[in-house]
Amino acid sequence: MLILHRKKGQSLVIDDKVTLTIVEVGSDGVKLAIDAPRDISILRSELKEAAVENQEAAKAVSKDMLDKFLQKPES
Amino acid sequence: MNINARYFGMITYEEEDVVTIPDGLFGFEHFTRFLPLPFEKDTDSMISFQSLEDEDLAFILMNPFRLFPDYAPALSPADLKQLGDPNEEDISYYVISVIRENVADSTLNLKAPLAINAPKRQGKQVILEHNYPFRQPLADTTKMKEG
Repeated sequence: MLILHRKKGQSLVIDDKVTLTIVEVGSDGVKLAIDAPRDISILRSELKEAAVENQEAAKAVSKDMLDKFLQKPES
Repeated sequence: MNINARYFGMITYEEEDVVTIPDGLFGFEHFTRFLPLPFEKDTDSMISFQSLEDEDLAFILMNPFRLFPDYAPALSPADLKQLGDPNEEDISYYVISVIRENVADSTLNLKAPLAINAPKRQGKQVILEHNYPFRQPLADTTKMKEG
């Protein structure tokens, strides 16, 4: 992993295609501006993680597993 | 109306039973109409959240407060606005669970619960600012209950 130090107003360029600029630095977070071609997907990592979790949760559960599960919290 | 529900087979429901999630769930943005079906009578501790647009799609929701009494989800002003600015007491929270063969390995998504404006029957999956885990093992809750 590459770790860089950047200040407000400074940028970095990824693969000549994506420019990431630090717009604002606060005590609670940083504001970024991203300049990238339309076909590049940019997602907050939490959204990605939430989607992955939902995919996992959407898998069908067998009746056996459900029965076991329903017994447990009531025991 | 009828639907062949994933965990309940053929059932009848009324339009007023439907919960709408206008934005869908993350990764499932096209599914916006759901039918909440409790697995046990008279309790919302575990619910099948049955899609009305895909009979094979059903999430398993749990009431987090029974398992985690300290769970305190707080919605952002933007989330509240999207829910129609409900009163705090009108919001119900459910967490989506991943059920595993070994019950203790099952997990609950405390970071991204479903917040539902109960009177409007309209909900949204939110991502909380609080540092809750996406995969809270259920094993920890049973331990908590015993201790």
